[in-house]
Amino acid sequence: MKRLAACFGGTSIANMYDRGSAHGMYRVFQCGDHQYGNEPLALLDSKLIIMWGTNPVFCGPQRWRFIEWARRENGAKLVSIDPNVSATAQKCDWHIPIKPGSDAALVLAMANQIVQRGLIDQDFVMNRTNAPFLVRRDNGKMYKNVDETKTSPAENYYVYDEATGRVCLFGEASSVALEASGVDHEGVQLDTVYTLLKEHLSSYTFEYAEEVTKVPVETIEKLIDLYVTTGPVDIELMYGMDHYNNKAHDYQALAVMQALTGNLAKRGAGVSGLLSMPNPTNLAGINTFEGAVKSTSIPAFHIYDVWRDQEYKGEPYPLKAFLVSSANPVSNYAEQGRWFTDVYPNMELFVSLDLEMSDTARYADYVLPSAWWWENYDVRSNVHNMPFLQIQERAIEPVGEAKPDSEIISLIGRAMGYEDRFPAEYKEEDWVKIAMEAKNLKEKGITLERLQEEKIVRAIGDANDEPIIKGRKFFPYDTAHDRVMLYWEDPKPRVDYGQKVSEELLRKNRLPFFEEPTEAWDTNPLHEKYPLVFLSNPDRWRTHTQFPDTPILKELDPEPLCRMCAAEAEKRGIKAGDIVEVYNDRGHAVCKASIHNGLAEGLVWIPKGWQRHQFIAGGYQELTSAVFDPITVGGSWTDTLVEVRKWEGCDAQ
Amino acid sequence: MSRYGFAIDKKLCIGCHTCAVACKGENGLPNNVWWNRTLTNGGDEMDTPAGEYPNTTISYVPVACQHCENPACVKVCPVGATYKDEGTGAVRQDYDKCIGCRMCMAACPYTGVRSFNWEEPAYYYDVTLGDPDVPKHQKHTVEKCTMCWHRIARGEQPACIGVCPVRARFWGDLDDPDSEVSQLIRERSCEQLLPEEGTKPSVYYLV
Repeated sequence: MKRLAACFGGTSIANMYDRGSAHGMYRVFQCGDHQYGNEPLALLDSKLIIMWGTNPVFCGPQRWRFIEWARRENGAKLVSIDPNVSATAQKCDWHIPIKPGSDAALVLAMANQIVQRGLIDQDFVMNRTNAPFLVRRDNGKMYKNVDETKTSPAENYYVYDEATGRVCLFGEASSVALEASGVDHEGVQLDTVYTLLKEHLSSYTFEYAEEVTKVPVETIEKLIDLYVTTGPVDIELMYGMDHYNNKAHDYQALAVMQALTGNLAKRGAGVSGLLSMPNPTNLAGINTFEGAVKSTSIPAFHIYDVWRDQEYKGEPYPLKAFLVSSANPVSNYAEQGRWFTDVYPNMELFVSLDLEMSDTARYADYVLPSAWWWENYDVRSNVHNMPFLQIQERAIEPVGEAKPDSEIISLIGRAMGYEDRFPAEYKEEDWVKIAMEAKNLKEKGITLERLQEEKIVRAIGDANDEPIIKGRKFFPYDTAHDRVMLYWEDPKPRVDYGQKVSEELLRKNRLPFFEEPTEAWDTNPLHEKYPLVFLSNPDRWRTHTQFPDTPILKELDPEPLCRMCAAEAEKRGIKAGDIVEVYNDRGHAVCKASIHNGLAEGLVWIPKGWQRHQFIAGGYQELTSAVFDPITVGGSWTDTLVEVRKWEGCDAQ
Repeated sequence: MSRYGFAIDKKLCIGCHTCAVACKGENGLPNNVWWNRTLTNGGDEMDTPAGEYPNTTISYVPVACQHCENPACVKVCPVGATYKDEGTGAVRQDYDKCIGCRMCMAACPYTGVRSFNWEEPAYYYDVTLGDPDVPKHQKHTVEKCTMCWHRIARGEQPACIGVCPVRARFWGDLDDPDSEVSQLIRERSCEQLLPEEGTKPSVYYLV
């Protein structure tokens, strides 16, 4: 697809999923998207594993297996922090309920205690974070003197030398101070990052944290005690906390807390949940070429505005045609109604390459059937929780008119006049050959021939060496000085779509703080009308929106359900099996009700993945909001308030 | 001569139904037929817990034919269609002999492990799923878990064992003290289903 776009400068979509985590961690590690976690094997060295806003029993059983092994073989304690008693929470040693969207307040209160009680890992904080570096009081910028000749980038930073009582460059100090407040250098007032962090954390008292999160002070105390006495600590994270606005801070805060206690870059420790590493194959060999036309990339939910206004960054931007492959944007983008009000009126051609009749396919003008994975020759290389390359061979030829995506896109490319970019004689094997021509693979002796013979080959790390751990040999930090940033040094919006962000807001984001979700908070006046937080996190039956119509799975999971606890159901005269309407000002979804007493009061849950045609009316994605903050630019599906009522008095079928 | 049995680690089981779906695929089961089911021990619906928030409880129990040592079904079958296989210990079902009287279903205390094909077996797909060595499903016969006899005959494990994502399922010779299953039963606390019925099931749940 990228190759096709490069032929004529097609607009691509900058995805907005899971950005709270990606961007929050980026602020600390400067890592690529989601590239902050350890491989599953690393869990076997952990003594405490905290599942923070994640439900691996449902959504990552292959990783959960390692977590259970850590418990059995390494005596690891397992904790789940989750508003609900999830399937994972039921398996853990300790479940801590928490108010949805409030996690940063808990993390920062813990960090505050750690700093105040002197429970930091002095060595890690001094030598592997930017804690001792000085910051200007006037503008919040790092105080640096950049000199390209310095061997170590850390030497560009100023620190306070306790031996001389003077500010000097890092390499020149004999006794670097961790704390320094208001020291002067040539008229510039300075503080160390650590001093700023300590001061910033001081407002996160126990009382404040209890008020915001509803976690009792005694529980927070107990958690801190467990956290500081049981190590190494791995915090497993996925996107339970992520899908609200203003939650990059939560992930930033967790990384900072782990840094303070030295629970990073060592065996058994980290902020994980997923291993995601740069793709080792030569994708650039396919995606681009000499003479490629530059593409514009527009954030997913902003593209609603561009379609509607036919404008981008204040200039005319005539979007007319839409080509989709391996994606289901009509189902997955928040505030689904906007496809109907803002996009379709201006869309002249809609083409979808798909395996199934998804929401996207159902609204497309043309559906081009894609071949399934067993009809397709390819190399699996996206390193999603596994550091291996895996050959994917055809079990059968594509059925009916289905073709591999690469063939379909090549046909489109040639029809548009780009025969030289999509040679007619190319088969899937030829594209795979290009991808496998990668220098780093060759250096490791990994060739397509070897992969064809061995079927699966470890491409990153070494089976005879330590596991892949972020901050160590196989997966170093991406900060220039190889240090973790407790203070985000160069804040800027994650992507630019023409937004203006004030210096004041950028400065505020240098340190993690608690900020309420945009909509899903009880002080929002909307809460009067719509008192329930709407969850659409995945159930165990599918991967995102894949497999919605698989008949065998539907024998086990026949229809969408609106799940709530007995208390919320009783308030509304709802019984299990009643048909209910979940609604707000943006739309509605009508389906059967289910009683689930693992769910907290104040929220309801329709598992994601069900397509519009499977609801009695509407669909769950009508309910969510496409509003997003201009720095993180992340989708916030859980930042949604709804109400539920029986549907026109109908009884269960 | 072996006496094969199962050990299922209830502490590890996450109720994912992978073993149930693997069985359905391997044996090309007709629509709405499940030989292996993952039951929820908790609330009224699948995957819901018992109790009140936040003190809820839930566990999962994968249940299929228990391949009993003293099988009630074998005793009542008027035509010998159900029988205990000497070489493996599996309780087998011969569809050709089965007359569809369903006495075995009435006798078996493990409700639901046996199913009856009232109609011609129906399938969603017009291609046959499952292993070619699996006997064809027949109208008016009772069917149930075969312990993947077709796989055991080839020296393989039943299809539900290797697929478990948390490695909670074990199968082996209960008469061999060194088999993994025998070791687990010795070393761990175990439960069995309805031991008071006297059927002596060959499935042990590790707790």
